[in-house]
Amino acid sequence: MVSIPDDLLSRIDAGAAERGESRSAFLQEAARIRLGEPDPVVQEAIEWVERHQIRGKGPTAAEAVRRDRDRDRIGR
Amino acid sequence: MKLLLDSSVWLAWMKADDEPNHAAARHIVDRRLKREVEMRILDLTLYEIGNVIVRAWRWPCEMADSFVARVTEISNGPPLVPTASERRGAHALAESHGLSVYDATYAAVARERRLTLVSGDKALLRAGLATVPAEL
Repeated sequence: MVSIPDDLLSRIDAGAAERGESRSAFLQEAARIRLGEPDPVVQEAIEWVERHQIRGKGPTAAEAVRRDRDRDRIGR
Repeated sequence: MKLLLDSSVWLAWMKADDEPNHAAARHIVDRRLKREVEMRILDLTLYEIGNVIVRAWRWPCEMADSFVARVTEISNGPPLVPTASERRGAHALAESHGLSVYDATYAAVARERRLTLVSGDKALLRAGLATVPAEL
């Protein structure tokens, strides 16, 4: 049996809603944070990125994004 | 701490060479791995990532598919869609700071939702609306 004060439960529900999660998923994540467990989804993503990193010269990420955001700029 | 990474930071993580923000971006992801930070993502970010990978860097579309899927997975919650209020805020910031509405939308959403906007973009940093990746 787990006992949680009503006001804390309200804040848990608000936090879960903000993240698009159920109350159960929110509480499980909170427990994993306290237990210091690494997130396996992030671990898999890190390993994928390490295998597929983009190599070579070329515009930096910020320069490439800037060009993309400014691509439709028109003078006046 | 809740972070809103713009596409320049996500792409810096992906680009290993000639990328001044690569190590800092990787460090932020490592902090997410350890659950020290939360990451939110803007819907716009996914389009920007796709544009840069496919159009600027000319990598295969499968690369964009896979990377965008992972960015979405490791973000806490679904991509954020700006509200009407945030869009109005973005227009005001674009006007007052001389930013594109794309830039300003990041800043407006971060401000409204109390997220720390992290970016390598000089325009956002110059306007004082974002934090450099190395500070995280």
